[in-house]
Amino acid sequence: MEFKIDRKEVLRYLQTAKDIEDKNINRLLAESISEIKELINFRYLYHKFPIEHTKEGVKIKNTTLTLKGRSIKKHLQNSAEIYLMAATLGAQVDKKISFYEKISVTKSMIFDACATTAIEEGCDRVEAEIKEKALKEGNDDITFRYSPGYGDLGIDIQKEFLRILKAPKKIGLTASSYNMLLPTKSVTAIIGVIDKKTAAEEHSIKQEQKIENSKDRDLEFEKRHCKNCLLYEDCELRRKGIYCGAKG
Amino acid sequence: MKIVSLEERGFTVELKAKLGKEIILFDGAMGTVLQQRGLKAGDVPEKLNIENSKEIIDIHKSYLKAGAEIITTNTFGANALKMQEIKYSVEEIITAGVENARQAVIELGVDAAVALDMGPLGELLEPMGSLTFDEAYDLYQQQVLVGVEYGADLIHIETISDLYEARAAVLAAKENSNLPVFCTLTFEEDGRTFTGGSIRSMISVLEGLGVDGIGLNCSLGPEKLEPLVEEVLEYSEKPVILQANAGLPIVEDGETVFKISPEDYFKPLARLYEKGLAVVGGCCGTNEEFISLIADNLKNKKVKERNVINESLVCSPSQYVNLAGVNVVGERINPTGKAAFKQALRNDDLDYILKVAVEEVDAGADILDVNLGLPEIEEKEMMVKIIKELQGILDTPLQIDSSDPEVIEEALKYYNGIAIVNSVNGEIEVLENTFPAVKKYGAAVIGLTMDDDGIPDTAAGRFEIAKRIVKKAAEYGISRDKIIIDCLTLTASAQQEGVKETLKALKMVKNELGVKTTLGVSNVSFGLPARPVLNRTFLSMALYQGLNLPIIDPNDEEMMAAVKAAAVLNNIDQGATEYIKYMAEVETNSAKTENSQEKNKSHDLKTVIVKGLKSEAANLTEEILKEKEALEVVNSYLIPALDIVGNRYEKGEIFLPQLVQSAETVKEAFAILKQDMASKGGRDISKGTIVMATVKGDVHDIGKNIVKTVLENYGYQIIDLGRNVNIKEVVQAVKENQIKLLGLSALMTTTVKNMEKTINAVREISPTTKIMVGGAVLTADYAKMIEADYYARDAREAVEIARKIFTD
Repeated sequence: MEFKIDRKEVLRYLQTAKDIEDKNINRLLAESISEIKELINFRYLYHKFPIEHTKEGVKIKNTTLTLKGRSIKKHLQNSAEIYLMAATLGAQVDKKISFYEKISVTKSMIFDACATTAIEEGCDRVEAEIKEKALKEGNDDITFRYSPGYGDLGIDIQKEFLRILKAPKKIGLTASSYNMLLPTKSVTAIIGVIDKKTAAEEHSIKQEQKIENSKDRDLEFEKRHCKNCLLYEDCELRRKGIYCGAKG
Repeated sequence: MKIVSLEERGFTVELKAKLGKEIILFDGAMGTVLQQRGLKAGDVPEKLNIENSKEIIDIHKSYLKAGAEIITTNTFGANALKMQEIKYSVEEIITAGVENARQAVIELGVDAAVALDMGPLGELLEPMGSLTFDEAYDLYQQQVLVGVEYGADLIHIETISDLYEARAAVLAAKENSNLPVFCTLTFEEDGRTFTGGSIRSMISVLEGLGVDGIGLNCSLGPEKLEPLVEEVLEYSEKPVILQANAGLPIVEDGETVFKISPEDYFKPLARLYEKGLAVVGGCCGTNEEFISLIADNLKNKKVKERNVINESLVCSPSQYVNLAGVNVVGERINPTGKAAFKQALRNDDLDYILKVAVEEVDAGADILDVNLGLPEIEEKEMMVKIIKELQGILDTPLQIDSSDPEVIEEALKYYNGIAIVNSVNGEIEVLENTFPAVKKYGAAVIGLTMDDDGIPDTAAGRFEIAKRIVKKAAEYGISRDKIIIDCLTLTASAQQEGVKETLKALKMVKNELGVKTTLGVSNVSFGLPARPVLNRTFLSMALYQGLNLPIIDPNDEEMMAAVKAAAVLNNIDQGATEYIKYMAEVETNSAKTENSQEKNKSHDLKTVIVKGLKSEAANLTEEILKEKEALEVVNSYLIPALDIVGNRYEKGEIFLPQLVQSAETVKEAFAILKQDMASKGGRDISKGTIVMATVKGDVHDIGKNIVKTVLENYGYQIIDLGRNVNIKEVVQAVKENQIKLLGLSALMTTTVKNMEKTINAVREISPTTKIMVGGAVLTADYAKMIEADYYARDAREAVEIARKIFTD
């Protein structure tokens, strides 16, 4: 897979202006983008499972896992099937970030932001691939990707999640005892399949969400819910103006 | 070590005798067969050893009936880390696993061995992960001990993708049992493991550790793995093992299936058999039909002879150096005669040492010599620390430079590859103390041609010592291709006639003993003018005599050029490709330097800092120091520049990367100022010492590094313990340095717990130490909850806190 790595996205992760004029920073940025392209060993996998909404939570059939919490329940309320996906940029990217941490903190920040941009780009494409599949099978849409640790979905399911996909063996993706994904530039996510029946319903929810998000992010909402979230600082969804569904 | 009588272990003796001579047949998959029989995805297959032993025994029996001579226990993930999630202990699972396999053998009354199966631990090891090498070793050791106790016939380590983990497993197996040990790794199609390991490095490292069989398993089907197995057959002296998947898994209607038929699976195996494959079985997706077909065709057949290419390699997991060529050993990681390096060692300033290493690699060093001998530091501890740091960021193989056998042994244990030991000499006692570790880890070793009586004057005398070293090495099972002889460079100003003897001895040991050679070059010119030309000339003469490993300063372009030139003239660098490439690089680099020197003229230090022009800070600072005192430089250049940058950042005119860039520029200037003060014996400009660490479990370090750089700018000295730091280490650093302020960083909710534990432990030994915390998940409330004294939102807040603590 060829990676593009959008400069604008990298700058957004670095929280700088879109048109930063610093020559040095721009040079480091250009260097980082071309270096990381050589190092990425993008590996991903996904698998479709039927689900069952139970009192306990969302039960993933044929597996050991039940997804607990209000936010994931809401996320999957219109789905009877889900995809579990996992993706990683591989270990060499991590090694290079560590390398630059020793040589130049500036470069390591920029390189790290490039890596984050790359894994998101990779996941966007996996998501698109899943969407295409789902649509071909006659479904109406899919939900956005929802990761362990968002909202009130516990991060402690990480190891079980990876085991279900056999991700350690197949793509070299593991979780530490502290449930940190390693290599670090990796993602696990849950995507709900929305079939035609429930599509109409979902449509109205989406409209609602759109209204919520239309005011250049619903600040009131963020104040009430996101601020309480442990992932507030790092939340990719919030940056995109998407609300994960958790009531804080 | 648990010594068991192999005669009592069923088939083991016969197996050992057969290994490498006749084909030995393994079983096929366990996990995928269990899934076909209804095991849910995500479930732990090992618990079936107890809950449904009949099913497990059935599967074993099906493989035995098909003709398998080794069956593997259902204990792939039976380590204490993974078994946390089920109600059974490692001991219970492994005991049941071995018993089930044994039961199958007994019920069928066949001759077959039971292999204790050990897969990956499921977590990444340091430096990429938080699991330490010692922890990994302990986890495997526990499995080995139980397996041996309950009757396993051999130990089979498989599906490993990190060479470091393979090393931990093999060492645990070899140090705790006398059973045969097999080890197979998992590769992607490009011939690399997920962590970047290569086939050649795997061969060197595993052979070095003395495994009994070596090979590949899982990941791909036999056809895709064929070229990779061919490479193993070409370079490994050990019996070669292959357990491939039944092709790539394909998802059909939500079910994972393997598409390849037993017949298609066997075709590549038949070809590999012709090339010398010795042990064969199946992995994911295979079943008894696959094994049965292999048995029909290959069982008890003679293993084909093959010509193995024998090489002397030193390596890291991803990079190897063939000692037969000419390779430059960088000598800069060495405190001798270097005040700044000594200071860095005393202050635990690992970053300084790493930067030296990176410079050497950038300059073209092929191997890095690591010498940390300084009387006032703990050499062993420091050596392990530096080795772990170096292998965390660089792929260049290392040369362990110490005269202490204990330091050498410890270094070899933690080095993830094949290192060179520098050095032993001809004294029997030295050889006897050092060779066991060299042998155990498969290292290469440098032998100095001197002994109790000093350096012999003549080439013949030195040759005799070299012979003695080679002979003694052979007694320990260390072959000649692991031996590098240093005939010792003498100083032309003092022992002029000795210089030629060195060169003569070099040629003799090379030609007559068939060993590799090394020399430290620059000694030759001591006490004479224009040293570079003597060094260069001596180097060229030595290269002509057959020198393999010149130990030099790779930053010396003239010396590097001489090495490259000699490779052309000796017809080693075919078509002069390397030479041309090197010279082109040198040209671009010097163009760059000129460019930046040009810029220097138009910039003053303040502007350089504000603009963050890091590479120009050092030279400019040196210039200013010619006229001004260090303290004045701080007050009239650095501080005002930092103020400008700080204000612009607050106003949103510049952004975090620019702030950090300026901070790093100041750091460069500071380094020069510190050197200046130290050389003038002046007062330290440090405003106070702060210990900083990213807590146990967290491997992200950028945030802490930003805070560290900014604090250093304001004159604080930082003892940086790095990331994933044990509580004990933090406590020790606080205690030893009587620390007033400690900074801790955590990035995940799951690791904040360790932050809290660290705080509690520090409070116990040093209640007056103030603790500030920061990191992605922390808030002021959270900080209060875990009883930190301060919450630092960002680097600037950390500076405010430090100011408060150190002015109070």
